[in-house]
Amino acid sequence: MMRRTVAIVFFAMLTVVAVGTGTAAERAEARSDGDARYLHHIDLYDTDNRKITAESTLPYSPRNTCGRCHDYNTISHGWHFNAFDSTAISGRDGEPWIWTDARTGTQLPLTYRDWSHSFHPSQAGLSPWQMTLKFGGRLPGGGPGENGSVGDIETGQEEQVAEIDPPRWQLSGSLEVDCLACHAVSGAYDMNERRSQIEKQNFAWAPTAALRLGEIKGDVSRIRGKIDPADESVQKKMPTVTYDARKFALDGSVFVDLVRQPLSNACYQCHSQRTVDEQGVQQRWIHDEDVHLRAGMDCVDCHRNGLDHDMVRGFEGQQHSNPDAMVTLSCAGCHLGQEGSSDPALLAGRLGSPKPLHEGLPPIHFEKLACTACHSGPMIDEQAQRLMTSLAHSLGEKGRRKGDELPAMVSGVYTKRADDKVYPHKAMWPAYWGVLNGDDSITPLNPDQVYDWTRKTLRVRRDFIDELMLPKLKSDQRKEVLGEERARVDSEEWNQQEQDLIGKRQQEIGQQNFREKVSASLKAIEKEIGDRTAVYVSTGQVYAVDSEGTDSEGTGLREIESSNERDTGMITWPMAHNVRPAGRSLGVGGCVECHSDDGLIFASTVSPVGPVNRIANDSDGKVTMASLQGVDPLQRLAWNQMFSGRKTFKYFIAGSIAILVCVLMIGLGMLSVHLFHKAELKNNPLASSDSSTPSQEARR
Amino acid sequence: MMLWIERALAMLLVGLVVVLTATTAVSWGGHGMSGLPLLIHMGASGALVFTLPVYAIIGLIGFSRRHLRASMYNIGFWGSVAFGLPTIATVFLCMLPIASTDTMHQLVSWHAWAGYALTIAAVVLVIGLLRRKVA
Repeated sequence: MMRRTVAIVFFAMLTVVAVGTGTAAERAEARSDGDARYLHHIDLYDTDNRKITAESTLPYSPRNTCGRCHDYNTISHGWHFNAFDSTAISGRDGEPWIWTDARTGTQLPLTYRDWSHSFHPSQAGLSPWQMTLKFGGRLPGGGPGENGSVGDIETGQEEQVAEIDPPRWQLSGSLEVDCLACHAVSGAYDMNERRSQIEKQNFAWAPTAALRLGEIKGDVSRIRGKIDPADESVQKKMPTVTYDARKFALDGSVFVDLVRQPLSNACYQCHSQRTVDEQGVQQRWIHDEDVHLRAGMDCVDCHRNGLDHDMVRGFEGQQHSNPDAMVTLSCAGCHLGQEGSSDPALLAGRLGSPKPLHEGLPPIHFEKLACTACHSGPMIDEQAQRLMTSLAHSLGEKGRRKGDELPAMVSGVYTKRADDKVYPHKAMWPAYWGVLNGDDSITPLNPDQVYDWTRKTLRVRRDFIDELMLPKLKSDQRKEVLGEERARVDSEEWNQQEQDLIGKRQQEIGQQNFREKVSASLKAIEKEIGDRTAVYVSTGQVYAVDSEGTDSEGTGLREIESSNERDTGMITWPMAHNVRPAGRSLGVGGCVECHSDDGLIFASTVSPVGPVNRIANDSDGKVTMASLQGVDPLQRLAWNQMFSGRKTFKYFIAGSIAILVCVLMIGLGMLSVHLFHKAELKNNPLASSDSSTPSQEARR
Repeated sequence: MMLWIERALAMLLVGLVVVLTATTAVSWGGHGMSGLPLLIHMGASGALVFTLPVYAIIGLIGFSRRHLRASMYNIGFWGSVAFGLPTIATVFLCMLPIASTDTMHQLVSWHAWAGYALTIAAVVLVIGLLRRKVA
């Protein structure tokens, strides 16, 4: 009897599990399979997986809501969501997360991906919690905090978040993959509200706030002291949601206005960029949008993905879960098709893309240049232009930007990548405080810790550049430079010469400040880190302090030679947008647009930018693109000279061809006369005594 | 005098063809020409554009004085002119803004074949020159 009962219970359990699994599988694969938009009048579920009503107080959970019908687990490993997963496939270098602290002159490139140019956050002692708090506003969720785990760089194993940073994760909740950050229609999702909640450490409340489903009261960041989520006093301080009852239909469902293919507006939230010139951030109206968007496309028409959200990044050679499907989604793949393939699926012309003829352009250019070298980014200038991006400069948020805010980065750096082709790049120079190691490498220090240690010595409240490097002159200093009368005049009324004088004086004082305060700060750091050498890195220079004070001002600050370019030098990552049409591409003006002494793809220059101008020597570190590309100057000169006479040379070649054609015609004529005479001789042997060949005649 | 000029031009032509052929060696492995070899190839081809027509005119004058028979030198001379023409013409077409990338690939391929035929003609020309000297 007992056995029978156990067997019944066992089979009953199996049935439940089987049914449950089946249901889960069905849910995971729920699709409309139609081309028409499927209206999402759906029930929302909270973080405790309970259906949300107008009276609920917990935030809605994308995992528990969207995950009911869509395979959340598969989606959560997609490109945008694995940014903090060091075990994910890294792919080509991209823009790093740049930890910027204007107070300490820090712009530290970080990434969890295995990219050549940046530091792993753990090297700087930065936890996933700190990274999520700093950069979560530009992350559509996923990664650390999800499933309570985070990938670990050293072991490739998953490590329990609870062990890394237990208390705050438990209060903030996890930053789930927020499907609607991308899939909501324009205007339905408030990215700034999402960022605001993340700044408050209200991670789990961010999706609810962004959809404006209700009002969030409470701020996890204000919960201080001993943190125990079970503690009643902590519970009282936890954020709560007051849902907007108008959002709920009679059946309790909510209409979520979303689209299958994200609109470009959603991409712009994190992928906008603005160029900067001497006047500041360049106005939008002087720039054209990407030619593909102008033609009516959206970002996702090329940057596609399946359910796994493995985005096609659009470069050749991307390691992708569906390699065949993405071949024709790169520039060359779409416009030229797969070379040498007769497979109809790999032909050019997708979405009606025109096939470029590149008339008169020797094919060697395609071996030396990426498509983007001529067609992408801002028009090439005499020097690389300053640039601001969404990820680095929070574009999209309300602010008053001058354009010189940190992190300082530039665009239009034409250098080679591993495939030996020239690509346009964005570039920056890391600036950070660190420890010099025995092997000449530098380990960055935790920027927050640096701020604490140097607060009293640097004495910068907000901005390292404005307060330390280019301080506002005091009244007596202005008088000293301009005289009493002009010093009183409003700065906007100063003429160019006066402005230059003031600027020069600011720089002088800035250099003095820099030496004194950075030296004092390095000493302060060395007290904290013990018997190790503290350094400050900026614009490719490494500064250390000499306790004997050997420099002219007696500050002891010295510039040290570092052979470790990786930790101090320029870092680059390729740029591909905005794409310019053929008529605005590089080289449209002919060969000499590049093959001349002032051809910008070679002659354009780039100078290191960062919190500190290079003060230790006279050189501003300016380099030409030709030197970055490793072009031999003599060869370039020879090519340029060759191309300078190319137009005239074409006439000579035409003349040469004409002469050769004439000679051949004459030769053929002589041959035909000879053959004619020979035939005549054969038919009439008597004529031989009277006849001779033309050549014989000539000899006579 | 004309004979010496003709011989000197023939030697110059052969020398240029040697340089042009040698600089294409890098492309035999399937790689395109680039860098210094391409620079030298371009320089030498510029010289060929001037040398070949001059040699063709001088050679034609000389030829009209010789017996019209199939000597090695004559074959070399006419071979150089006949294959030099498409070698130069294909490059000329590439220089005009009319050929697309595909057409240009085709032209470059024809240029290579015509160029190698010119090399063979140059070899025959050298043999012909040596034979004439011996005779």
